[in-house]
Amino acid sequence: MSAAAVYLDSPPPEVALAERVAADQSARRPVLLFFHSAVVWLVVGSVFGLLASLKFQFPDALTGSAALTFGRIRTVHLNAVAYGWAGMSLIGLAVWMIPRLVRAPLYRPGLAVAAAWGWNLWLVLGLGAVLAGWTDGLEWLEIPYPIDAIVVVAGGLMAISVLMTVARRKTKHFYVSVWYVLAAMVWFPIIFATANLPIFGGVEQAAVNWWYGHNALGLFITPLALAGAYYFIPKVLGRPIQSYSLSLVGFWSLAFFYSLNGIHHLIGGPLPAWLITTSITASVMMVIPVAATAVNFHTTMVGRFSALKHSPTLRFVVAGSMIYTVVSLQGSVEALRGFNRVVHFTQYTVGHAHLGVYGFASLILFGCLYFIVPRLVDWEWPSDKLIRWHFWLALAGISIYVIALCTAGWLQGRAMLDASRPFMDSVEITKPYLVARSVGGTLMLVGNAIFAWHYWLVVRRRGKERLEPAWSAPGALA
Amino acid sequence: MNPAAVYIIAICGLGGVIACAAFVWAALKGEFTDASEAALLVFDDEERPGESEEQA
Repeated sequence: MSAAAVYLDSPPPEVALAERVAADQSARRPVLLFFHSAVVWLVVGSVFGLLASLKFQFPDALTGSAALTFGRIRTVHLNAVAYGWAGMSLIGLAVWMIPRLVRAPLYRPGLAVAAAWGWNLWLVLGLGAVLAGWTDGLEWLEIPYPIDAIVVVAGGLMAISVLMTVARRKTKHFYVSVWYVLAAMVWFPIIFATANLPIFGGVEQAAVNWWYGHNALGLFITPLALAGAYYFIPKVLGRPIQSYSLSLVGFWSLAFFYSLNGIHHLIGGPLPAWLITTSITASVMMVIPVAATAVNFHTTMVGRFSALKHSPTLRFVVAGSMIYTVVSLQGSVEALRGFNRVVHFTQYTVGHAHLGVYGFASLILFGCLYFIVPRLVDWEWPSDKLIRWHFWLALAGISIYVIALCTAGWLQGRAMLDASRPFMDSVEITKPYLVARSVGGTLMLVGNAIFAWHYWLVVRRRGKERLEPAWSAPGALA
Repeated sequence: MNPAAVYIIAICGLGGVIACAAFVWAALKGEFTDASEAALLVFDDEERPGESEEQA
């Protein structure tokens, strides 16, 4: 921390305003670079995702080239949306929030800019390698580990910039969002570097793989998305979070319980029973942070739900936060042996994963971008209608997708467990639901494309100049 | 014991020590007191309930 640190949580308004302007200016360039990149990866990842889904209806399509076979395009989809869209936009969000919350300019913004370029280089080379058939062959870790060295350096630069900014803070307290960001900045490098070490083999490799795979969601995507929700719900409502102490309970209980969750992916596998039981227990214990967060968000919103009509940010963030509760409780139930016995190795898991990354994290991210981007480019979103279309397409798309796949997964699992039925029954039974998945995926892709087009318009400062935020004008209500 | 197992146990142990140290540090620094003050850190100018966005 600097010698001139003030350690003041509530400075006079004019000082606070000046500090916020300085914080925003310091972070502007890297944040925009992260956001621009993320939106491109969103579109790329969505196209590959829909292609992969359509292969279930048209299995003979795009089979002439090995690069366009299901195994490769599905992998590109996962990495593009998880690390490209979600990863880069979450880091951009963190870089934007931290200077505001600690009332200090971003430390050496050039480091964050270099990190963004490095992250993009890693993805371009990594996904190119996957399309060419070079992969580590591990879920969430498909990008070959020599290429992963690039993101280790990029992530290190990013962490230095953020951590040094926090070290120079002028506030006495860490707001809860700062805790989440700091934790993600420490956790992700540890799990990523560990899981990529080429020293694990056999069943221990599977254990490390799922320890990483689940923690990439729980110790990187989840804390950063919750950091955004904890920032924007109070910010837009203009009232503090209902119970700040409860928000800290949510953070620390997530910190203590989440890291053990991943092994529940290997229930029934050749692993020690105590290891799997520990993971199931930790998965159920996740009810504590989830309930703490859900109760806090809900009680903050009570009596103010009408504000959802006026703020795109609030509408997306609150929808994402509600889905966080649903997907987390679904995950806890999914980890129980009796339920897992049915849904393991079925489409149910795919539905659950999409509800987490799209329904929860991406909706919150869209809301955050609707707030942040106009402030960075000094131009309001030009169209209320496009935001409304984006919201309903995203919500309808993910709803159809998840309901279809969870239903399909349950039926598929029941069919596979019935020894009197041929295996092909478990395949045939999913067909209509896989069509519904493509329909849901199409709606999400269209919504994402609308968002990307609108994003292009606002960063290019196109359309009529507006003095009021989107949805605030009379007659603009959804 | 398998060297890989030793490594992963060491990493997890280190992570646990860091987490506990962070928790104790936070408690000693008073992070868990004056919660109402910390909750206001998101606000930096006049913001009215129900307004859609702050004005930059």
